[in-house]
Amino acid sequence: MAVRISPREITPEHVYLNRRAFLKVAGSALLTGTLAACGVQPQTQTPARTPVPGKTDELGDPITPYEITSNYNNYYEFSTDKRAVARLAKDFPTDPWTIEVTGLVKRPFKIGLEDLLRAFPQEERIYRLRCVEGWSVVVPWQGFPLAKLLARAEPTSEARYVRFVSIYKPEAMPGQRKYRTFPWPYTEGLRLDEAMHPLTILATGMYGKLLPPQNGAPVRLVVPWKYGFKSIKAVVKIELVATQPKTFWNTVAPHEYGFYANVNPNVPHPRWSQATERRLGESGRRPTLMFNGYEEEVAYLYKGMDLRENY
Amino acid sequence: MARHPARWFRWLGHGIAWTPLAWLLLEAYLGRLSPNPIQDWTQRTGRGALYLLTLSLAATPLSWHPRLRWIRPWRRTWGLYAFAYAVLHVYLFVGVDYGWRWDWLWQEILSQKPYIWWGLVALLILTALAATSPKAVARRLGARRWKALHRLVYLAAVLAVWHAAQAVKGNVLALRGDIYRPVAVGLVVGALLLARVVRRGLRHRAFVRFVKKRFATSPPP
Repeated sequence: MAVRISPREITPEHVYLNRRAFLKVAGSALLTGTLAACGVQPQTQTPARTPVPGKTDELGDPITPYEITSNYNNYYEFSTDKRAVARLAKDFPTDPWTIEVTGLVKRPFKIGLEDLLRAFPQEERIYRLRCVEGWSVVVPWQGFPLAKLLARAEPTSEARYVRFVSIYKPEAMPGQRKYRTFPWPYTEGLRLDEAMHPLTILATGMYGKLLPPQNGAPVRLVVPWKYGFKSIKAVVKIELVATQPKTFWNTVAPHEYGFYANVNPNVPHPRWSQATERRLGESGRRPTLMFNGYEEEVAYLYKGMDLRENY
Repeated sequence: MARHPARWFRWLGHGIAWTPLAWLLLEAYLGRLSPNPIQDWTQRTGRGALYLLTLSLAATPLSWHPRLRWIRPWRRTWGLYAFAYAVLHVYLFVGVDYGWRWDWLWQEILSQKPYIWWGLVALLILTALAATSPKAVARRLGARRWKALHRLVYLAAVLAVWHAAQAVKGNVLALRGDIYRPVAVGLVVGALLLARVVRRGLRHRAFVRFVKKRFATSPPP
């Protein structure tokens, strides 16, 4: 499992902020191919994949530049435009912040963010994040296993599922005012064994610093083997329940977004295939891996289940 | 003396047609595309095709105005631009995004994704129209058959709108999600088609009136 690591030891910021590398990858791959025919030559010509120097995930894939992951965000609370979220979320207030752990537990509690950071040592986890829309990134998160937080509340024997609730703050979240047909606040859910799995974390930082608001500050869930929408942002409430809770996207479009939402190249979305994905910062596509490449760690959770039925 | 508008409009007409691509190239060059640039390219060239097709459909109704008759030939020019954008759009999807991986593409098309098919049919129609666009080919085809074939542009436009509407995140029929653009283009295309129907009806009535007046009211000598 991952080791504890101080922010100083983490790859220096300039590596993530390597704007030149990002621009080259994003621009030149396409430009060289398509513009040459129009007689326009971009300034530089580089191979399609320019690896960002630094760390990789356990499969050897480089970490996605910070500029990309912090400027391309699915966060409808702010906007449906992924590029507008960072700007709109800039001043989102995350202090003070309290998380409530409640429901079927012996010791319900509320904890402020600072106490949370003190009580649960932060680890770095480099995870792939695969969006249901067909793109993916590799992110170095700082966080801690959700299991530790749940253990502190001591779930009772009736608890079967965990329900997560995101903040409802329309005055600071324009999307909550604008898109009124959505069932705000955002909610998500996991089976208790999924929630207790060591890969499931609550993240408070990424790339060696605090989470920026557009990525779910101050604390978010990260479940790396599921599609990104399961990894709920800006969590304020964690409730242990006995039955499968209602979740946001499953309520909006049940045929398109299931409760389980495990990354699965063999089960297509009703409108597109999930067999391939675009890794942001690369050109072209790559095959999507079963359970997003975490099959060895998590496949046992779904033994005997029809994953086509439980998409 | 002011020059005839048909002359100076040549620059504007081509300029409008090049704008979507020029804008895209400029933003790419300045590094202002999103972190998912392939998607930007594919979506925006597709949108370019749709806009040019709409413009092409607008040329004829505009030319009904006696002072705008000269705009009529632009339906062909803009139609050809629409075809070019559509080809670029498909090339980006097949060649750049999927890197000619037919196995992946096949999976994509098979996975209950009908909107690809609507787009494909629209492209086939535009291809046939572009191929029969040179005057020599049109002459060989004969005016009647050429006209019948080129009426398919209406179908292509409807299919292209539907293709775009289904590709967005949301539900156009329920007016939910990110549907503003396809609905707007759809309304414009609908209005342009409706204009033709209305005009036909009016002209028919006018013709009937003319015949009645000519042959019924004034007795033959």
